[in-house]
Amino acid sequence: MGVRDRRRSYLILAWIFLSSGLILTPISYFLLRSTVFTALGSSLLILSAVLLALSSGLPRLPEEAGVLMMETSMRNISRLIEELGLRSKALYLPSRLSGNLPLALIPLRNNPEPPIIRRSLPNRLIVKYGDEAWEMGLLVETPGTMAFKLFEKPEEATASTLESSLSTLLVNLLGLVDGVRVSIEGDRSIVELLNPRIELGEELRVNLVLGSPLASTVAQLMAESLDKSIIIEEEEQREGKLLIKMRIIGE
Amino acid sequence: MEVVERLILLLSIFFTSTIVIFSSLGERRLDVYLSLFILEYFITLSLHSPLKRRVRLYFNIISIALFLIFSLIVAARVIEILYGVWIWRLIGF
Repeated sequence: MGVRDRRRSYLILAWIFLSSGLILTPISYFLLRSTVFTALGSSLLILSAVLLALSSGLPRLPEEAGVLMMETSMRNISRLIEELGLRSKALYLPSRLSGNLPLALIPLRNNPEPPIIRRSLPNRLIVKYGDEAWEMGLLVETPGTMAFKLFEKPEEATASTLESSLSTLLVNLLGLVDGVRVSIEGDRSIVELLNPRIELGEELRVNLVLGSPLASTVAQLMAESLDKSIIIEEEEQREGKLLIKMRIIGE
Repeated sequence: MEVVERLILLLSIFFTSTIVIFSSLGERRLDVYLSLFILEYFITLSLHSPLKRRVRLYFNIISIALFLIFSLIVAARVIEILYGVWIWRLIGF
């Protein structure tokens, strides 16, 4: 069902409920003297108000269009990464280390150990993150950078508060998954996303560097909440689940 | 199932069950039904919160209206207990 059709069906149902409720309630109360039918009419009135409210929040852009735009932007980053021959995993930085917004740093040189960033990096595309000449990288925005605007950062970052904040964003506001589970043990964290709805057809280089769009969003938000850098070590797609294994870097 | 669909479905199930269960028990007080609907509305809403900003504004208006109705019902019951007067009867209901 298209976005407009869905919106229309909500509105039609709301108006049917509203008119039925407006007719049924007074007739059953004053003429029929029936409490049950009056209650039924009242419930229809409440449901119609709820349907009208919900119809205003239905997405205005079709899901396919959203995926198309995201795929285009991911493909463009992928082209850039391929052209520069980047292979290192991206380091997700909190806004404290990357300027105003949380960003991801892709080191230009492949290094087995991820760099430890101690000072705030300039908000530019190509940045120098260390004292050595080769310590350069690309500072890019990820889906998580934009999602951060809707994210309610927990005051104290624990597994349960992070789970709650991520659920609010990914389940209630964006509707990208059906559930979120977070566990943190030492410098390792595992996030489990239930029934993820984003699937990109092709395996792009950007997925190897930044991770899948969902993993990238989660890593970015975790980095911001924990106020530490994060790297995605592994992603595992199981039946109806996406497991994201991350490493927390820094003091 | 999306949050929006789950919310409306749960609310419909709650309302229908309330009507079926309480009418089969012979409940004839309208304020009991209305109080339960309002309670169910607030429980369902809190289970699905937060909603999108645009939707939240409309829900705030509905919540205020329902809360006022609930307050009137409670006030009427308190007056009945204290003074033995069913206030709605006085104003013709």
